[in-house]
Amino acid sequence: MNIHPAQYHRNSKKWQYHLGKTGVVLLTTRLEVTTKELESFLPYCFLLVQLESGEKIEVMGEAQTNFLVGDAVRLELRKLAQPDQFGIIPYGLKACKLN
Amino acid sequence: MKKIRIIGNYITQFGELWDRSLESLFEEATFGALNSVLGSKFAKKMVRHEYGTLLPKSRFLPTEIEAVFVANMAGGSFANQEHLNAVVAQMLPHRPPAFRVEAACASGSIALELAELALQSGKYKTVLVVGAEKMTDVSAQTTTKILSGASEYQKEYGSTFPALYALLAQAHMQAFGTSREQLSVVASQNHTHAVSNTKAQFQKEIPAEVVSKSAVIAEPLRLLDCSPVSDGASAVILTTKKSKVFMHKPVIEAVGHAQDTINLAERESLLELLATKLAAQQAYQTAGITPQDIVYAEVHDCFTIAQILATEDLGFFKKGDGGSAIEKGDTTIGGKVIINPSGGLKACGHPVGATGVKQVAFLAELLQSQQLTQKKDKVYALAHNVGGSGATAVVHIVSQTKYMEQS
Repeated sequence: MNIHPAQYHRNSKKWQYHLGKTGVVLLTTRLEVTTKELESFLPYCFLLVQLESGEKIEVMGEAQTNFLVGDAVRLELRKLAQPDQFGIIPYGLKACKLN
Repeated sequence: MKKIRIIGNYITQFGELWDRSLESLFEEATFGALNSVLGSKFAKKMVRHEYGTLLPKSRFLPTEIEAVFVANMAGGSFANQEHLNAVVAQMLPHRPPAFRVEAACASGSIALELAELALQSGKYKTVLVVGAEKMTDVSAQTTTKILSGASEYQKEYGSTFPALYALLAQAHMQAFGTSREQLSVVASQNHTHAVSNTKAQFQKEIPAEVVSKSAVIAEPLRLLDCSPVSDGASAVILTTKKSKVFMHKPVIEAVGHAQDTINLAERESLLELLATKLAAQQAYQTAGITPQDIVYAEVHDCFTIAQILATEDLGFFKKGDGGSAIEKGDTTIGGKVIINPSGGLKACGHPVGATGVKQVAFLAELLQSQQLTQKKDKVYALAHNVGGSGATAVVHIVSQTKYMEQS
C-alpha cells in the first residue's frame, strides 16, 4: 500500500473519529482480485455502510468474511495492508460483523 | 456560437501494442489526423519529416494548427513520461502552443471541450486534439493501482474500479431486478459491433454465456464485464474556418459537462450517474434536440453496468429499463438507437486518455461514411465519456448534414 508515514498520521485522525461506530450494510461486493498490497486479504468485501450517526461510509470488510446487505457492523481497527517500505504496519478502519 | 467542424480524424489500432511507445502512438494519431485532412490528393500518407515540404497552396498546412490539446491520464505512472504537451508540440514543424489535460478516463472529452472553448473564444481557429495512453508495459496489478488514483484514494481505500462499479451494479439489481444475463448481453453485443471495426482490440464475437461464466473480479462483475487494458491513441482536427472545402465535414453541435462527488458514499442516489444526466440535458438543450433524435451513441461502458446506467441517464430508456432494452435488441442495428457501434470501451478497447477523443473521431468517420446515402437532412450522434465512477461526465453531440444539400 505504501502509506507514507505522514499520510498515515493524517488518516489516523479520521479513523479515530469513526472508530467504534455501528451501522448497517447497504451495498456489498466481494472482491476476488485486487492490488498486490491487498492480495493477502482476498477474498474481502468492499462495503457501503449506513452509520447510525447518519453518514454513509465506504469501507473494507474484515478479510475472508462474507457480508450481506442488512448486516449489522461496527468500525474497528484492523490491519489494512502488509508492512510496507516505510516499516509501518498500517492499521485502520474496517467493518466487522456484529454478532 | 461559431460552427466547429471536425475536419480531420484518426484512430490508431487499439490493443496490446508491445512495439509501440506512448510517443509513437501520439505521433501516429497526430499525423493520421493531418493526413485525413489532406485527403486523397496525396497518393501516399506523409510521415513526420515530410510535412515541411508541403506547398503553401496545399489544401491544408500543418502550420494552420494553432494549438494542441493533449489528453492523457497517467503517462508518468505508466511510462515515466510527463510534459506531454511538449512531447506532442515538438512533432509539428512550427511547435504550436500545447496544453496537457487530465481528467481520468474523461481526459479526452475534457481536452475536446477545452479546445472547443478556445475556438469559441476566437483565440484559435484551428486546433488539434490528441489523446493517448500506453498501459500494457506494467503488470495488471500495477495498472489496477494506477487507475485507482482516479477514485478518492483516502475515502475509498481498499476499493478498485471494478469494486465501485460492482456496488452500482448491486444497487441497480436490487432496485430494478437487472439480471446477470442482461449484463452479459451488453458485453456480447459490443463485441458483435467490434467485429466490423478493424481498429478494435477484440474484433471477435463473445457469446453472453461465456461472459456469465468468466472469472469473478468483484461480484457481480466478471472479467468479461470489464473493459480491457489497452494501448492506443486518437486525434481530431477542429476548425471554425468557413472554407468551402470543409463544408461537408461533421459539426460539433453541443457539449455538456457536469461533475458529481468523486466518492460514492456522498451521493444521493446510486441508481444513476447524476453527472451524466446533467451533461446530457445541457447538450440536448444546446443542440435543440431530444434523445430520440440520436441515431448512434458511443457511451462509456468501462463496465457492463456502466452502459446500462448510461442508456438510462442519457434519456434513451426509462430508469430501470436499460437492462431489458439491451436484451430486447433496442441498442443494436435495427433497434431504437445504436449504442457503441465501435464496440465501445469493452471491445474496441480503453486506452484511457484516448477514449474521449476516439469516441468523437469514430462517430465523425461513421457519419461521413454514410453521408452520401443518409436519408435525413441531418443525422445526430452522441459521445458520452465518464471519469472515475461518475464524478466527471461529458456529452458531445455531433451532426452530419446531407451532402447534396450543401453542394
